[in-house]
Amino acid sequence: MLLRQELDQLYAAFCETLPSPLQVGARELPYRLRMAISPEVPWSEVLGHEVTFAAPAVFSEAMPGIAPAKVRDAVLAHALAVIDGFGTDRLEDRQIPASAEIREILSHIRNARDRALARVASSTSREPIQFEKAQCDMLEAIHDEQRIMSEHGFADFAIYERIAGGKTAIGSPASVALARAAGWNEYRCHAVARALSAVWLGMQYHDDVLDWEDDFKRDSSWAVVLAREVTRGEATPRASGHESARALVFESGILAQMLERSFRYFRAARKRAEVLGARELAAWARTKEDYAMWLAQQERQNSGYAVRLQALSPWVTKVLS
Amino acid sequence: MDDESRDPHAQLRALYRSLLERQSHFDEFKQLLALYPQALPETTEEPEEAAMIRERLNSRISEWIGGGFNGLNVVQVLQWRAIVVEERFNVVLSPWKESNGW
Repeated sequence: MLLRQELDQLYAAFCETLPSPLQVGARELPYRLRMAISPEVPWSEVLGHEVTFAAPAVFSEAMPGIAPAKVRDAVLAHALAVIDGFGTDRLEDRQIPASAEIREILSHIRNARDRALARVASSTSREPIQFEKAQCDMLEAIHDEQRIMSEHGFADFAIYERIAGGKTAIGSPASVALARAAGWNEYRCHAVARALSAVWLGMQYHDDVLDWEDDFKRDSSWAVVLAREVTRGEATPRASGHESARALVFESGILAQMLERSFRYFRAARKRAEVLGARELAAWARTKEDYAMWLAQQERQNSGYAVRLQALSPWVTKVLS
Repeated sequence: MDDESRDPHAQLRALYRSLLERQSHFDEFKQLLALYPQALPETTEEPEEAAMIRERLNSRISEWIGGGFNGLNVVQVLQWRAIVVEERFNVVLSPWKESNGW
């Protein structure tokens, strides 16, 4: 079965388990979280990459003896963790209005996530893997990010990566639990977590480059925060308005640096996936690695290239392709 | 055989490259498109003011790509406007957008 279809079926089945008053809201959650343009859009159309919503499945090709039911439970646990992550971030960051209904739905999602994870881990005698610490790390990272943005502060790459890592910490436990269930040793389980962490950071850097202007309008641009840090002590614009922010970002070369880091993290993810035998993940990471390197070079030569490429891409699709 | 007969999109590709490589071109392009009407009634002629904006736009594009530009017609300008100014075809989340926030 295709992973996208499976995601929608698993999520639809979860919605059926909810109290009746919550079912509509849960089905329309991508729309309610402002991640979809209409209420009927399913998660499979919102989440662009299989590795995002089905990370455990992309490792399962290297686990020939694993039971399909375990993989399905791991995918469910992972997908629900990711969905909860989106919802929590948008609520905490006030990107959507406070909603008791959405909070209740997210609470049910976390409970279902934990039950699915427990089923994955049920056959191992090792210490159970839980989402609890990752959930705490995520909330702490969201609050740290809010503080930095509200203070119009500085941050270096180490801080950026600590916060990005915290926000994506929930993206690993289900895959690690599946690896344990498959009998992988601690070294290989750790490599799964490291590979996924590298994937999330590679994606985060890329997104924060493409979205930096929109993020700036919401006072939450990491490119501006990082640019302030790398130009500290230099006579640079204070970035109070859009034009001065753009001058700061372009003159600092921060976008190219972020894309170079995206490239390095995708490369790290690819190497770990190769070692683990996750060939599809390795191939996917290779395409992202190559693209990030190319885009970094273009950005280095022409400041703002990545954002303009994104803005013009619909025209290329409609006219030139 | 010239470039245009070998590749009917050659001029548009040159414009695309120009917009990608120069922020000032992209900004001016977007500003001129924003001045153009969002839509035109199918039954009426292009208003004089809109025609002047389109002419100005085509003149600037010709300068950017080194001359020889046939010009964007009304439909093409409206299409560019929808994409660059209104971002109407960019409403679907980008494939990467999902990693925002986690």
